[in-house]
Amino acid sequence: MKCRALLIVLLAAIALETIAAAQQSASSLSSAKGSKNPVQEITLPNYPLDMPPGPNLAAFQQHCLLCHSARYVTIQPSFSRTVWEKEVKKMVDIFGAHITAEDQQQIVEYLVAIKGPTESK
Amino acid sequence: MNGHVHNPLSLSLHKLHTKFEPVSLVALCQCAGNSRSFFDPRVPGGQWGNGAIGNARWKGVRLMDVLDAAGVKLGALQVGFRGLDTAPLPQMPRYEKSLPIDRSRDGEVLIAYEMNDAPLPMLNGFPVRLVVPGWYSTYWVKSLSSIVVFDQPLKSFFMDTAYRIPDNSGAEETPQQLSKVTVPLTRMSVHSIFVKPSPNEQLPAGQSYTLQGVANDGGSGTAKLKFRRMMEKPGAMRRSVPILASTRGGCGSCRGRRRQKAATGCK
Repeated sequence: MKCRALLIVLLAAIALETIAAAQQSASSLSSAKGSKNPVQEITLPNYPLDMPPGPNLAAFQQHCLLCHSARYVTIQPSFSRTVWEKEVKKMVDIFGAHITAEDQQQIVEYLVAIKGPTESK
Repeated sequence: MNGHVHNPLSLSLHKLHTKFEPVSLVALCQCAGNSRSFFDPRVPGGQWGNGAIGNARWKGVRLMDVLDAAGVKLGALQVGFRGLDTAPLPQMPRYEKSLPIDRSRDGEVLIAYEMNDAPLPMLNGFPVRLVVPGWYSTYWVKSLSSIVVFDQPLKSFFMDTAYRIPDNSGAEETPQQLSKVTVPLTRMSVHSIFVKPSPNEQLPAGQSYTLQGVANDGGSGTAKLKFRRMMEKPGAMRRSVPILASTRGGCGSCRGRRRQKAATGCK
């Protein structure tokens, strides 16, 4: 792909330095800005990886939690088999997931079992 | 990367703070997928209610000033942005977006290092992020680390495949007839929600009631709000009335879905 860059502005190196040497850099930065607390701690949200039981749960757990949380799946509403097949295919074709055709089929079975069309539909 | 560069720049946080005029503005940050869970039929993706939106004061430097310091050459078409984050798998496209050169140089787009008068928090994109007032936050790249000017459109999954909407005035299409031509999602559409009443809240008849809500547009200034009233027929089954009225386009994953319009709502 030919993209001719006319200009490069890089903020990465020094920004990383700022994070790595948190106490030192942050305090010099914050003293310039007058802040009192140079180092702040945060706790990132942490959701459990538990998934509801279903056929081929192991295949799902092996392939589907590498890049996104389990919760991202459990918050979805029910979808048809066609939609779930499309979603799994998207993970492989676009997002680079290494899943064999057979494992893809197993994962679709699991998704349909836990998030498939309900009786009333 | 090579090319005819006037002055390639490497900027530290300290330089951003001291070498460029600081600018402060208030801008609304809204996810392109906000309110996705209200689509009918439902669509896969982040199942947002109305909460993927936040207003803040942003302080930083104008992207325009940084571009001027570097000296943009004639023929520049777009500016590409990357953050410190990389994809979990090597074959996965990493997140990157581009802005047209005119938008980049309009003086409103900021490289922000402060939010609400404090250093940009980690979860909001520390150390610096892009602020693109009036456009959906897909462009507001967090942990901004690289800015590249191109003379051709940036080829990226997150520009060419994701975040695209039908190319018509309502950005609308049907599942049976998906729009053949799409364009990148950019400026926020009019978006309004009721805070009070809540869905399914019963209002006492014959008494006055104060409506409360929040509305935003993409920066042109909402001229006025209109209210429509739905009268229920006696004996009719009561339907839940969504409190969202929106004419905005989707973010690509909702293509082919009819947007659900509120029976009562603001325009």
